[in-house]
Amino acid sequence: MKKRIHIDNYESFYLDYLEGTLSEEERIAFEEFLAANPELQVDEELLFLDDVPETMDPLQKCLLKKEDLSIVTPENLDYFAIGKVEQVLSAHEEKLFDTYLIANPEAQQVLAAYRETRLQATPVVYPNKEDLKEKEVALVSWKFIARAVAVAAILLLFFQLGFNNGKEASHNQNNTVASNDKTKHHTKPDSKKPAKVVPSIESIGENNTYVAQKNTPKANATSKTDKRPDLNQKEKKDPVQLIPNQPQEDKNNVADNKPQPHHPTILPQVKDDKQPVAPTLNEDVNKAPSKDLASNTGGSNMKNPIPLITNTLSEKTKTPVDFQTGKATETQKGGFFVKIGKFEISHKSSKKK
Amino acid sequence: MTRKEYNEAVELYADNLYRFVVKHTQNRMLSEDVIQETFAKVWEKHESIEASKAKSYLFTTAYHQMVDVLKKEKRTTGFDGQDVKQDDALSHLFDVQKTLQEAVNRLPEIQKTVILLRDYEGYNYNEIAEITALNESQVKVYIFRARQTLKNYLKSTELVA
Repeated sequence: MKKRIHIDNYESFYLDYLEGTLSEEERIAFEEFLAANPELQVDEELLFLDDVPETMDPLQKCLLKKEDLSIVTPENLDYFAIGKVEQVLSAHEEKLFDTYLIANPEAQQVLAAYRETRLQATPVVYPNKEDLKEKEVALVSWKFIARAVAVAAILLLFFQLGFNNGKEASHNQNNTVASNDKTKHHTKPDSKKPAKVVPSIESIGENNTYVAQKNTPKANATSKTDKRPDLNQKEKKDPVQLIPNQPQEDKNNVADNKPQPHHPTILPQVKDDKQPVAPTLNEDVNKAPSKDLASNTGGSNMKNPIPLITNTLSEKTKTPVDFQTGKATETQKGGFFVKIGKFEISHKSSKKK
Repeated sequence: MTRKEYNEAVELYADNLYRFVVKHTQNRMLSEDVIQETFAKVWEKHESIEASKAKSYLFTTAYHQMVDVLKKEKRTTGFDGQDVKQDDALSHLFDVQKTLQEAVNRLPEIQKTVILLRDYEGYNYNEIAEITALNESQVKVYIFRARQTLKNYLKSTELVA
């Protein structure tokens, strides 16, 4: 019995047709059916698996192996060439490949081609490099700050004293007030006549404007705010304070707290008869040692701890350099004293209790 | 890593990192963002990073940052890079290097990464593996495949034998 082919049963006929198991009569009938229904025709290539073998890239195969290759062939040539460019061949593989290259010059071209695949590093500059950096935060220790402040204070003091000295010198010059050193210098025209040394006592304040002063900063500083009339009143009351312009604190530092002999006042002899006549020389004044600030500052207990350095500095710079320190005792104050040329600094500590 | 060492790392490696990223993304603005973010992350952890490993740490961070940014950009804007004018970037190169740059741009991302790290920075396979979170064998495979692809590309343009 002949079976009719229609849309509901054609698949079984189609499979038999592809398998070639239909009878001749059935095959002709199925082909007529496919011709009448072309939309049902299926591409035969999709119905059968391609049995063509898929070969793996030899390079991939070589890379999978976990041992050195023992022979170089055209199939694994890429592996050896890339390995040589990458410098990852073992010594054995390297030797094998070098031998192969000698025997096969065409392989040299393959190797050269792989060498061309190396990228050349081109310089590229990142534009905002500075923005990436973390800014440094300056951390200054308190010790450093304290030292810097101390140095600045000393320098300021030096300049201040130097300025005061300069002003005082000009002030003295204007008033023809002579200091120990400057007297000879500033009395050029009139100093041909011998100067007289007089003690500075009350007559100075009353009649004489030629006041001898010590060339010390403190003395100068005091003279800037000269209260001469008041001072002279004090001098009358207290003989210890007779030194004109002597600061109050200096009095306390005099060695052994004894009254200091007055410094001699050198007055130029002036032609004008109306100028005051200097008194006669006081014997005590002649005997008085020349005291400087050092002796006034620390008292007799002050010593120079570094005489070698100060002496050397004095000699080298031809400038008086002195440095003395002293510890406070029960009776005397301690402190230090520094003198460089005309600059002097002193500090007093309180008495030891 | 101290502040000073960090700043030295900026001086030493910022250009190299930028080159690595800009060659990858072909986009300067995106690359600058990646570098900024990379150094910001490194500074956050600078106290726990040894100065001797700063370069490796920077490249690792930059690589991961770049991958994240590229994923995000592709997802949100359909990013395809290419704001770097090829003519400008390659104008000083010879023909082979120009073509090679074009070939590198065609490589898969991971192959491009390993090749750039290998040729520009001279990293060995182990270091590249650390940066890219691959193993050494994978790095070797990617580099070999990339070389083969580059060679075939050059050959196709008949610039090499």
